[in-house]
Amino acid sequence: MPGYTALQWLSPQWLWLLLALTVPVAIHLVRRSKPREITFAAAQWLLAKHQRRLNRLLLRDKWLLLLRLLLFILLALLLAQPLLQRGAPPTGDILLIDPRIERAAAEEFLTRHPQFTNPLWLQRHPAHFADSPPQATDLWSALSLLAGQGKFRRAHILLRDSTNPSGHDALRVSPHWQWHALHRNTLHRNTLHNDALAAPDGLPRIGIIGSPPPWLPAAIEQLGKSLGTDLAVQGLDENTLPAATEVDWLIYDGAGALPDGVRSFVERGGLLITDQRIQGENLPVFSRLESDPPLETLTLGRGSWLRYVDDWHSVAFFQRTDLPYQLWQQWRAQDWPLQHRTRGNWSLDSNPGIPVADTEVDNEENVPGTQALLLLLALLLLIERGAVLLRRPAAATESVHAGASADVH
Amino acid sequence: MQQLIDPLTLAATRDLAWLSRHIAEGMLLGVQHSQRRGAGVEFQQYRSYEPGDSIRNIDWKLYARSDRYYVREADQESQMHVCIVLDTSASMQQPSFTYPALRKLQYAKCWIATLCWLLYRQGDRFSLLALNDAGIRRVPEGQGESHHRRIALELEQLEAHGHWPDESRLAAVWQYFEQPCQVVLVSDFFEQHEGAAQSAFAARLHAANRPCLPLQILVEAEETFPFTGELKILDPEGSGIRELGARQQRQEYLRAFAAAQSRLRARFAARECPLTTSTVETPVEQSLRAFIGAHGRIG
Repeated sequence: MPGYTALQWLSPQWLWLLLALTVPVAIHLVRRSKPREITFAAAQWLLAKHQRRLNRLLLRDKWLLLLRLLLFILLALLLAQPLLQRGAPPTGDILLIDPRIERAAAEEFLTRHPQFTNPLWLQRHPAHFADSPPQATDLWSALSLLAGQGKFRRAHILLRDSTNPSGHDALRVSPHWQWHALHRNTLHRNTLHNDALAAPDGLPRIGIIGSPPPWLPAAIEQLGKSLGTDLAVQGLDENTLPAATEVDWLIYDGAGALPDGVRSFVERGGLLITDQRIQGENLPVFSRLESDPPLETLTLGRGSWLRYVDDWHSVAFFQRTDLPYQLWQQWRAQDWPLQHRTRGNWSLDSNPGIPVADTEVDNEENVPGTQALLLLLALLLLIERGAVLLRRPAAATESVHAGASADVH
Repeated sequence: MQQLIDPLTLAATRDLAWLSRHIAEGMLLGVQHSQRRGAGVEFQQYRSYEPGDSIRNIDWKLYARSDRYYVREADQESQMHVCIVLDTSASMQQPSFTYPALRKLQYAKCWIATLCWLLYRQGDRFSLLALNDAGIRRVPEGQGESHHRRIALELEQLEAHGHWPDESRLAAVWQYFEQPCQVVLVSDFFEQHEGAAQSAFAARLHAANRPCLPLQILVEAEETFPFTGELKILDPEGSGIRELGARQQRQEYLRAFAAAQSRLRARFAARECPLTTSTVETPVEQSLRAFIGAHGRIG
């Protein structure tokens, strides 16, 4: 409801203070019911017929009483801390734009959909589209936050991709949101995280340099069998080093220093697998992984280097029943691009979000009314004091009269 | 006119003899007057010492002989006997609303004492008669400083209560007016029935060829009625308490009061004894001057 305002109290228990309104009323009543007593010798010229008892029912100083009542009301209201709620109607002309989208692409989308008159960047505190696009934000948390805000309840949301990485928390969405995506991509549901041996759509491309240990081809073959597909293994030579885009895992068997070509392969995002005989120069320290066979790892540029602590030609290394499975686990765990590709995704078509019910929505903006009340209170207090001070001369003579009559009796 | 004694001092001072002398001497500054005490005054009689007599008048030789205090009284020629009649009914207890400590009676006492000092300085004889229905207090006529002091002492002891005495009580008073005298009647002239009480008393004196010079003492509020709001009125001479709204009553009261005042003034004017009205907020000497000016007899 546009323009709808409501009042909420932060500490409504103070509203009991309104009962104190009876105090000034009582004081005025008591003072009214006690007329001033004076001794007046010339009373014979005061006429009895002019007594107006009705007059006594009327309060004296009505304005002062009103002021004092107002003061009490204000005090109670102040202590109860009112929150004025200004209605924020959900509007359908809002388009929340994924910050990953290029401005030009978003503008093109907007020209195709002129109904979105209020384009905003999708972030925790949406900024206008005309502002500079924000840094990459966590869509998941931004959406979850906005789902509970009345203003964005009926917004349209434009994402770059129809599938997006999942977050760690439950995604909360508004059931009224309408989703748009610039790129439709199919969701590859991968269950790798459920079954470690299940192959991803894109299997790693393995390259081998040097003379690999004799157990390796057999192990790879076994792996391929369990994955239900053949793992392609390229035999490479040291002089024709592959680019990181051609080979995912590079198994290097040799001794001595790490060749520069291999090193640059790693730095460009590849995964290098060696054993203890390969040494690097000017390298940071390897970190040891708790694994079997024992392994240490080092991050180089965008890729990583896995080095087995033992010589993999030794019998102790390969005499394990589950060696292929363990190797697969270890290598896959260090392949960051693979990890990224196989991460859980959600799609617009099957939204995993939990709808936020309309009843839960904080549909209002809260405007604290305390400051205005405080100002009003100060003003009224000034007026009241002023009024009392102005009455002071009268009050002074009154006290003189009271003194006189007290003296008489 | 310069105010010699402010009303608060007047209200606070109990030594009337001193106060009245102070005021009167202030009034007499620069006035030529004959020395009446001492030489040339013939010895008349001894009398017993009374409170108020100056120690200087005690005959110490006689004291040495008799072991008693006697005062020499001199025979002074006197032009006039002024009998001051003071109304001590309860309405004279009315305090001022501006100076609550100052009541009509206190003002009247000071006024009378001051007048007596002036009379003493003139060599006149004066006496005091204080009337209310509880009894009559009298200081017989006399003259001189000691007599003034005696009057002042008597005045100090007066209290206001009751009403103006009725006819039967007043019967005892007339004997004091057998000798020719002038009467100064000090009252607020608030009579329960108009033309009765003080007015009737003055009329009777006038009929007996004893001029009665009236001084009316009021408080300012009785003339202006400055009150607002609800009032509970205690009439010192009436009965009961009346409650009323001041605002509604004001016009009516002022009209009635002014009418009563003009009738009173007319009654005295008819007897060629104009009424002098003074409020207790007025300085005593100012009121006294007005009184003397109105009658042109003293000072």
